Amino acid sequence: MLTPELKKGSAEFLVLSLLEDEPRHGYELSKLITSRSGGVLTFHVASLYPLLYRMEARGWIGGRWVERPGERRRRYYRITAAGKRTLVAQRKSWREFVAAVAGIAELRRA
Amino acid sequence: MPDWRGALRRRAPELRLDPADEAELIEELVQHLDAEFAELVPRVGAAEAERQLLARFDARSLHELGRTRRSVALAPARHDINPPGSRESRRMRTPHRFAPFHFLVVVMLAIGVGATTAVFSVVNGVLLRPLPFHDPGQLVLVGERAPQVPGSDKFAFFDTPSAFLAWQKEATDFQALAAVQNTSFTLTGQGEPRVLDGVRVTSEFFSVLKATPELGRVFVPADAADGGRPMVITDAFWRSAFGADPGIIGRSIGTPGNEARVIGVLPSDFRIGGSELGPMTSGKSTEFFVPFAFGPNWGGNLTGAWTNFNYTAIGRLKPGVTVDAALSRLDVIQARLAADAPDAAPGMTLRGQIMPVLAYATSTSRQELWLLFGAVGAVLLVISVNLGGLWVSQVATRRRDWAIRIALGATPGQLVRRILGEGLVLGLIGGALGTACAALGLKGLLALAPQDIPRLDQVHVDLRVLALGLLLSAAAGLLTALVPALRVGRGDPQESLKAGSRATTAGPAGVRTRQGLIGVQAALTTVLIAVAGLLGFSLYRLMTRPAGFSSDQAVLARVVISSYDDTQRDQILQQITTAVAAIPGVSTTGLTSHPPLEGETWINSAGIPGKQYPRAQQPSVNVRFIGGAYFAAMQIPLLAGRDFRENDRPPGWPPADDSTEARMQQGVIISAAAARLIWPGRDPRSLVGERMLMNSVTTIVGVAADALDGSLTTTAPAVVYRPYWNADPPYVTLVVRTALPLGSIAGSLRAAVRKLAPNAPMSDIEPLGSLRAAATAPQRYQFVLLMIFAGLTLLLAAIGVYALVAHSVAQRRKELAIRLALGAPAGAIRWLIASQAVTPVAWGALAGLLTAIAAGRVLRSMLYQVGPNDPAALGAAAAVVLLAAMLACVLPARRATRVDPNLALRAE
Repeated sequence: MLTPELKKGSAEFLVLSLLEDEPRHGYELSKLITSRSGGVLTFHVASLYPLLYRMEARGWIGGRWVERPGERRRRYYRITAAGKRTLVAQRKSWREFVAAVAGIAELRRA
Repeated sequence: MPDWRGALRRRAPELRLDPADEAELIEELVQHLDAEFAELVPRVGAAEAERQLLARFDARSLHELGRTRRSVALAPARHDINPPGSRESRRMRTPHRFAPFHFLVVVMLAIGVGATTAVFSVVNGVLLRPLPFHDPGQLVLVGERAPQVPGSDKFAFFDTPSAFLAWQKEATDFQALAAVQNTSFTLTGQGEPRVLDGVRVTSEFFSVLKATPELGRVFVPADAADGGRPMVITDAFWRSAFGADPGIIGRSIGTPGNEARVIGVLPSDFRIGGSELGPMTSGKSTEFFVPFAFGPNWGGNLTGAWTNFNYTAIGRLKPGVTVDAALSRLDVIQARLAADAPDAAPGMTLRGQIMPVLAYATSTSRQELWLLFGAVGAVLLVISVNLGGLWVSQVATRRRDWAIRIALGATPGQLVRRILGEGLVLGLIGGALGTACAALGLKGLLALAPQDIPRLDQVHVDLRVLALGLLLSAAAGLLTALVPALRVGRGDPQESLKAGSRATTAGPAGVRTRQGLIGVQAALTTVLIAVAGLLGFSLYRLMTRPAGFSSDQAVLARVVISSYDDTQRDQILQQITTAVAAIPGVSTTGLTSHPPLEGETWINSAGIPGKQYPRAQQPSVNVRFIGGAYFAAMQIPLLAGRDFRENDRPPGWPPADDSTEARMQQGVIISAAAARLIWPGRDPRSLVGERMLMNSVTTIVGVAADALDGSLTTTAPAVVYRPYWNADPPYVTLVVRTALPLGSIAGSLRAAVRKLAPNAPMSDIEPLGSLRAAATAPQRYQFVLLMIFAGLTLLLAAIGVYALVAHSVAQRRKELAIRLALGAPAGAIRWLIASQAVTPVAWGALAGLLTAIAAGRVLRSMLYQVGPNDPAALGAAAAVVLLAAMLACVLPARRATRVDPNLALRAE
């Protein structure tokens, strides 16, 4: 299980990654986060939406109600241009971070 | 599925979001919870699933959710998926922001509350604030009344020494009684000579008021007989004239032969504004007190003192004694006095009269001030109603918001409370601003105020004023919000939501509410304009009423020669008119002891020699001592006979013996009114040479036309003119007829008087017309303020009408287009639009007229030669209100006829 700090820091990154390819709604996002992380990361509904709204307020993602034939209308989130830039930057720093942590961990193990 | 909405709503009834945002947020959560619930139920069962899902929702987390959601709404529309102009970015972001409408409410309420509070400060200071004496509620004026004597009600609280002495001995309801009489004193040796206004008092006076001196002492009975003229002065006079010199006690002030010795200084909170001590006093602030006592000649004998109504009694009632109880016992004493009088007319009765000092002091202004307060209150009411109307239209455009809130579980009661709360807060903000501005408005009010409003020095913004300001602010705010709140509370959410999907118009009920509010404004405005109009008519009649003398090209100067002895005064009066008449540019000069329009005073009995008058029917006349060419200077025509001539007077002063004195009293001029009073039915012009009884028998040498000697509102009183050498009055008013402007005559006039009487204080030199201006000052004050208030309400009502009609034209464009397309004439369209406002205004004006007629009773005493129901004034008021409403409709009505008829063809 991740520590809360780590979880918070990584959550935005995860959401941006999941929205990179297609718009999704909140429930879908929470399911995907749980399944993709193998159950390590779970978002309770009460903390997912504040996260999404914060990101929306920053302009990284945008929410919009979409009605599809035969479906009840849902609020879909899609990544914005600013969100894409953030995702690129975060991906880069995560890589560096993981590499650095891995390097230190290797040293320890040795 | 569980009732997620209800569960969330219970945890946090209100997320402080735009209702539409809130609805969407909840919907999103509900969808999510539904989905998770469906997954969880097979594993843990419905009850446990619901518990788990709701476990993390509490008020805090929900408010956090609301907060983050709000930040989305507030964030600049950066998202490329919501381009500018999309519904998301157009939506009203925060309903709690201070909108321009709120600003308008605050400013208007500030004006209303400020004006009302300012007027109330005057009401409070003048009418309500207790007198600055110990236990002031027990202080009363005591007077006598002779109901059978015609016109005696005009002379309330003019008491005779005999009555006063009897009360002092027999009336047990008073802790103490004192008699007072006005006097003056000439202060010299400190720049220009100055007249001080003072009061002669019997030694009980200060114990009646329970006043103790700050320095020295107050009077003891022996002081009345003290030839050194002991004097007690006020703190204000002590500071202004003597720089608060503690060595003042024992010092003599005044001119040689006319000196007084200061024995005491009163504390600074001892103030007598001028009207507290009854009708005898000057009306100006009292600066000093001197003692007197009724000598052995007075008292006991009603006959001797019967006509000497020259004192006022002030007393302190014993604790627990009411005015009514004291009065009933005073009446008993009065009845005995009348019965004891040997020559009292059969059936003659005397009664008593008791009035609290505060009530007497404020009696002349009470009605006027309450009327002003009522008027300014009406202004505040109109402001509230006006804003209420605007608010209703605001609410109408936000109807969908309210409907969504109700759909989301808010009760109508919550919404009503919310709007009322908004009104209360706005009212309090506006009121705080307004009360702060009231101090400013108060300065203006006081600067405009006529001098004869008593106790103006007591007017301050105090706790009571602040409390009323607070109360008014809250009330006005709530009143403003009341109608919109009720509208929201009554609204049907279903209806609004259905309508709201397409348009957000005010329903017909909203328009009807606003029409009702317009009607209320029209009614109040009509009342105010009607009252202002009546006062204006009355003022006009007063300003144009012929006074019997000509005010053009004449100036007045008052000269006080009381510090000179009789011989000196006689000399000064002999020479003064000649000296002034010699000034280049002066055509005529006269002098009089009492200029016109300053009230009836110096009243003596008069009659036909040898005729026995019943006591109560003895004619009384105003006596005036005149000199120079008084009638020519005033341009009062002499109907018959001639003016006095300097060679009418026997040589020498003082009179050598009784016979010289009798010759000195020879010859009077009477006014036509005096002629009619004493010789009813006879042609006044035929009376020259007739003998007449004044103090002694005298001959009529002339008959003068009537002049308004008493006041502008009463008929010309009976006047008997006597030559100045009969009395050599201690004060005179010079009347100087000259074509020169006031500025160029003043210097030489002052120099001429100064040369003859260097110790005589002289007033400002004023045009003769200032008499009428001063006499009408209270009416002008009232009229000006009421005009301002009426104008303000008219403007507000017109704005209200304009807003209603303009809004309705905007709403009904489509309908108007159809009508135009079908060929409706422009006139019909204009009337269709205007009638929406003009009809309620007409009803309102009618209601206003009825109110004004009903309230007329209150106004009657303030009006001169205008009935309180004067049809012209009332009709004009209604016409003005209707005209203003029609004018306010002109622009929107014209816009209504210019709607493009093609609009009718376009699809929604």
